[in-house]
This record gives sequence, structure tokens and C-alpha cells, in this order.
Amino acid sequence: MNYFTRHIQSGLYSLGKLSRAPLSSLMTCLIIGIALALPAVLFITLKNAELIDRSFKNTLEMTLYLKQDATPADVRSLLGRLKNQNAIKNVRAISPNDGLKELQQQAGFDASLGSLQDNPLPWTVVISPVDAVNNPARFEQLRLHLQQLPSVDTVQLDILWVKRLTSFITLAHRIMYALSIFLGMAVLLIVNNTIRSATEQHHKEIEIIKLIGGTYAFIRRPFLYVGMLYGLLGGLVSWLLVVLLMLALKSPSEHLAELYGSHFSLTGMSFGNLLILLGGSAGLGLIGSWLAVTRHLHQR
Amino acid sequence: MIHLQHISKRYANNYLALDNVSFDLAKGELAFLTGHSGAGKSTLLKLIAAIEAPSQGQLKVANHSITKLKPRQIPFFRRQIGIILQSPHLLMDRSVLDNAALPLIVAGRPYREIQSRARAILGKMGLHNKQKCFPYELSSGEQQRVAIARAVINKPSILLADEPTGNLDPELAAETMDLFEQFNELGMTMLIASHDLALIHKLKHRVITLSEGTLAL
Repeated sequence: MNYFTRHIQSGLYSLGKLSRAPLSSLMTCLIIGIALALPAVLFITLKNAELIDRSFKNTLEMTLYLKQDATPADVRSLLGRLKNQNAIKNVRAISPNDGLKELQQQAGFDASLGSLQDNPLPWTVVISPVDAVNNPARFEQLRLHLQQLPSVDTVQLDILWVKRLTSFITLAHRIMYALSIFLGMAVLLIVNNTIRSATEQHHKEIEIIKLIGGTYAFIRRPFLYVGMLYGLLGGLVSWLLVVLLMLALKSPSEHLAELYGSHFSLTGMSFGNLLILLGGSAGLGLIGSWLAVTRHLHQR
Repeated sequence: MIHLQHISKRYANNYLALDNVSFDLAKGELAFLTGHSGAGKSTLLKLIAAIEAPSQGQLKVANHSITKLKPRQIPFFRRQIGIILQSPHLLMDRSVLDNAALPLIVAGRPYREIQSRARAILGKMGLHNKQKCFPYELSSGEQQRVAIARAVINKPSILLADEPTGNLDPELAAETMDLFEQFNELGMTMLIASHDLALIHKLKHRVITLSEGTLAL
């Protein structure tokens, strides 16, 4: 019997042990699963928030309102200058008439606009800057440069709330990491405690195996498998909880996005995320049980 | 094979269990260890099996200096000795075969070897039709025979027994001693602690007597 088959044997034996006390094993797995579900849900929330954030960053635009006396020729020369700038990805001009039509299409404005005799709107130029959010200094430089152009009246940009969202996500990331550490420790302690009572239940067996020449590694092995299985199954439970939550949130979130005129839909855990979750929870179970058995073995 | 030189054992509560005990047991020798309860028989066996460490003295067992054994070497040392206790200490949730085979399982022997050797030893013990039973289905005499099978399955060079016949009726006790003599004839060195003087004196073997922790002559 080689090393590998001995491990398989231990693993199967551990599965048998868990199935012999199904209720208490199930409870332990559920507790671990619920403990891990909290950071997992936070992770998914952040993942979606980041997607929203990124999509906003991609559509970030700067609007130049030109002076009232700007002529179409002025606009044309301005567009020509802007198109040659590296910091600018895309430029388009909106004439006062087009601007008015756009406004009239939006509900509620129609009546009030009808009462106007002249079109009060100036020429407008909309600019999509290159890499706006990741390079705020360059963005600011561009803004100052545009402000100084003779035909430009005001430059308007809406970056502040995007910055707020970004820093909120950074903060939430910290919270998620802290929670993951706390709840990871909780998982470790849960498994540690479960395995500790298992070693006490099997105390006589352990003593016999010691007496006939069983190494610590041999005694430890089945307990390590049980601990790892607890972690793994607990991780699966938390994944299931996240999946259920996603199913419950799918249609309301899509409805909400629709109201904002977006095609956004919730993103769940990727396969990689799942692997990290399961690997992490199994690892915590392994460490928890290793500590418990080692402590038991060194007690006497 | 077993070599004790000025061995003393004092427990943490200051109780002196063994006081300057010296003796040698040659390879292939069978000796009885006797004395009143509390004379230090069990302590002596525990020292030889490296379950406890002596407070003083030199102890050599099967060419190992027990006092210098590192913790991780102890399991491999134990595989060279067979230990039998007064109660059989069997695993109640494992079959008789698995119980007898435990030292081979622990040592990582191949499955086929484990099966065939366990069947052979159980057959020798007259337990061939009890292989698949669980220990609680056996009588106390049968349980003790499983424990003996477990102790000798690894063909240890030394067998230590602490009151192996203590729970058995006289007839079973005599049978058990008979088994021990058979193993001894195969070359196994044996130290058997017992206070069954009647039985001991019937068998012509060396007798080591302990009295209040010292050797009595």
C-alpha cells in the first residue's frame, strides 16, 4: 500500500465518519457555510459595483458650452483643433437646434420650451477624454486648457460623484477583507472545536494506535481529512447561499437597471472565485483540525 | 535484549515507584515479573515500552537506548515490541480482523499481506470463524486472544504483557500461558507481569519479583 492509496483510504474513512453522524456534521457545515456566505455576498456586491463604476468611467464625458456669439465657422475650427489632441478620444458638436430637439424629446420640457421665442442654447461640444479617471492630473490639465480657448464659455464635467463611488468601493473592499479575516478565523475555530471533541471521543483509539507504533502523522491523517471536508462542504454551502441570493435578486435588479435605461445584469461568482472560496475554506478546515489534533497529541 | 541499570522512577507527586532496579533479559528468554499490586510491575513495563521515561538509570531495549529516543523515533521502536495489557483495549467499531491487523495497517503494509497475515494469526488463536465479528460479540477470553494476536502479528522481537490472564478463568489463563510459551519457542523475548503465583510456579521460567519498587531476591 503506497502513500497515495493510504491517503485515499483515510479520505474514504473520513467520509464514512461524517455520514455516521449526519445531523451534527450537517450543522457544522451549515454554520461554516453561513459564516463564509457573508464575505462572499459582500464580494459579489463589490464585484457588481465595480462593473457599474467601470461602465461609468468609460462613458465619462466633458461638455464645452461655447459663447453665444460663436459662429459655425468658429465651431468648425475648434473641432479641427480638438481632434488633433492626444488626450481626446472623441469629439462631437451639437448645434443649438439639435440641442433643442433633444430637449424637446425629453418628457416635461416640451411645453415650457414652446413658450420660448429664441433658442437660448449655445453650441455645445462633447468630448470623450482618453483614460479620464485613471489619470486625473492629465484630465485636469485638459480641462484648464479647454477653459482658456477663446470661443469656450464654460467646461462642465461630472467626475466628482464617480470619484465618490470609487472611494466608496475602496472602503468597502477594506471592510470585505476585514470581514473575511474575522469570519475565516471563526471557521478555523469552529473546525478546531469540532475536531477537538472528535479527538476526545477517539481518545482510547488514539492511545491504542500510539501503543502499537502509529506515528503522529498516521493518527492525524483521518482528522485532517474530516476537518478539510468540513471546510470544503461549508464552502459549498456558502456558494449555494450566494447562488440562491443571486436568483432572488436577478429580476428586481434587472428591473431597476431598466428604469435607469441600462442593460446591466448581476454578475455572480466566476469559476475562479468558486475555486478560491472552496480552497480557502478547505484550507481553514485543514489548519483548524491540524491545530486541534496536534494539541491533543502533545497533551500527554 | 532488555537491559536495566539502576533504574528509578519517581512520579510528579514524589511517589517513588521504582528504586534502583537492575536486571538483564537475554534474547529469547521468558521471565515472569511478579509482586504485590503497587510493587511497580506496570511502571517497569511502561518504562520498557517507552510509555514513560525513567527518572534515573540506563535502559536499553533491543539495542535502543530508551532514554535517548527522540519522540518521533518512538513509534518505530514500538513496532519492534508487542504489548498486551490486562484489558484487551480493542477498537469496538472495527472487526476482529482489523483489530488484529492494526499494527500492520499502522506500518503501512500492503493490503494482501495484511489480510493473509491477519487470517493466519487469528487461525492460530482459534479465532478463524470470528474474523468478521466485532469485539463486543466475543467473550472476554476471545477478546484477550485478539489482543494477543494484535501484539504478535508484527513478529516483534520482544513481547511485554501486563497481567494478561488477570480477567480470565484458570483454564483460559493456562491456555494463554501455553500460547506465550509457543511464541517464546519461536525466539520471542518475553516479560510477563502477573501475580498468579500458582500458575507461574507451574511453568519453569525465570521469576523476577518486585517489592515496593525494588528487586526482591
